[in-house]
Amino acid sequence: MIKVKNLSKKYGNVPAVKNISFNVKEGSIYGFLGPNGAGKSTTMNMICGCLAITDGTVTVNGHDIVDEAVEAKACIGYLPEIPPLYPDMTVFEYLEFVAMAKGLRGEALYDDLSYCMDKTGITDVADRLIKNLSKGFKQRVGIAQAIVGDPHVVILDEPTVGLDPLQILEIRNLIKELGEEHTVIISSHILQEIEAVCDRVIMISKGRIVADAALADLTKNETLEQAFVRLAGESIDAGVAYATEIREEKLSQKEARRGKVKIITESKKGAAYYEEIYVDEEPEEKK
Amino acid sequence: MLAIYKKELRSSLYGMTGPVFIFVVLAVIGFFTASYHFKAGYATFEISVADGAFWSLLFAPVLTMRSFTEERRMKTDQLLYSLPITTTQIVLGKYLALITVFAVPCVIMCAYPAIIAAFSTSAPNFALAYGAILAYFLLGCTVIAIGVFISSLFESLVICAIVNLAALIALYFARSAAGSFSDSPLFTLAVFIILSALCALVVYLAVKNYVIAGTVGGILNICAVIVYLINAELYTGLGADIIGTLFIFTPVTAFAYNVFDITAFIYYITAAALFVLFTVQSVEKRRWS
Repeated sequence: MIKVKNLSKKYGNVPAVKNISFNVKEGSIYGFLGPNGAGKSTTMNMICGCLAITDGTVTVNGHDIVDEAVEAKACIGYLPEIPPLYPDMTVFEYLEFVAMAKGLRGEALYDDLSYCMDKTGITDVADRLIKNLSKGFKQRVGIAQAIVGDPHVVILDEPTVGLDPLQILEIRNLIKELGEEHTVIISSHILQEIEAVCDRVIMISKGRIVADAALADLTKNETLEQAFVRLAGESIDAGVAYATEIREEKLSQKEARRGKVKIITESKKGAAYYEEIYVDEEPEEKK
Repeated sequence: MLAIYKKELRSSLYGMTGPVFIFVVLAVIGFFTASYHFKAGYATFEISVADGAFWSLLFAPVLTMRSFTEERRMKTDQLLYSLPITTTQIVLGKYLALITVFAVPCVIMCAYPAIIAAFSTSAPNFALAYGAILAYFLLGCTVIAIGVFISSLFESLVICAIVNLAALIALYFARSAAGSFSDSPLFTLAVFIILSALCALVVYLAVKNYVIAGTVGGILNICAVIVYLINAELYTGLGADIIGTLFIFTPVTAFAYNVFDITAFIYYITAAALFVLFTVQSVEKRRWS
């Protein structure tokens, strides 16, 4: 379905994604897992054609994302980390615009919109302005626009960020439902989320793939959390084999914007390790 | 492209900017029409269009500044880039929607010559009057193309509007300074060298290759220098003439002097197409950086 080969991205001279390769097969829910600033969003943006590729290729359903961009993008529905919504439009107007841009017309367009709104549970708010919706509903509208046109692959970048626990559960259930009809890729750094909905896990750290396996295989001898700390930890040279707790702290607003976070891990022996990572791995968007 | 066009048109007309822009254009041209024709008694509508062109289009930056700056600010540009449409379709969809908004007052303005004819003792020259309206519409298309291009460069709405406004004011008032440019061949050579550099920049934006862009710029420079060395007299006054053509508000005034200037149409269409092309390249370049 999606073939990523030797994909690289540099912001100026700073590498964000380093020569990664993986394949996404049809009919599974993939978890794209990695710490903040690992290169998840950059990779997603390149797969969806939002961001130019520095090196390598992405093929979607046999179409190259650069040479046959329109055909490739027609196979993908994408929800970026911040839902790309127009606040002054109603939900219906917004989805109608997306459907038209995806080439739907007439009866087929309205049938598809009806299906998508029903699937994401937003039919009741179809006539409301997007700016007046709650965060959970905005996220649902974002997911609805991703599935408009029945794309083969639905890519969701951190779909539950900022939601309350109830909304997170609702979105997870929705993702599971989507997985029955689409190939789904979810980007996240929340381990429970990946465990709850995904069949396979692609783990990325410091711009490199550190794991690409079925969730069951990855968690055969250890928990996902342990695997994450081991694989991501090896990558960042934290030296923590099995952590019992992992916390993440943003250092400051300015540093957070630069993708700088502090990961605090504590091992079973009680020793604490502090590591500031990815200072320059994912610079500001404007770079 | 139709989806982008409809969305932009809807957002311009349902919001404040579109109706206010239409009002400003009609108010300014209406003011000049009332002054020249109903107070002073002139029957030539093209004077109102020529004199009101600059002032009526001063509000254009407010209409155009949101086109790409707002998308980037709201992060909705990611949606546009992930949809199965090309960058050219995105730019053209937005541009054509803004032109449609500007066409509204221009169409209404078409009634003015007939109204003047009805109330004036001497009939206006309809060919010149409608020629002036067409030239004014194409001037507006150029101004909007410049505005859309500038909006593709900045992330702040305020900076975008200020730069756009400054550019319009510079393009208008600089024409009065055109006469003070030197007629010397050396000045013309300097103008050619600057234009060669700009050509090289456009080529680079199009192909993203320093070698090709440098080669094109170098060849143009060498040609300009060779002609200068062979016959410098050819360059006398040419530099000032070339700079004069850059002032976009000049061609529309030809109609006020009873000249049906078809070259004005070609000039504006070319300038508008060029800035639309620049916008496409500018948007593409952002994704590559």
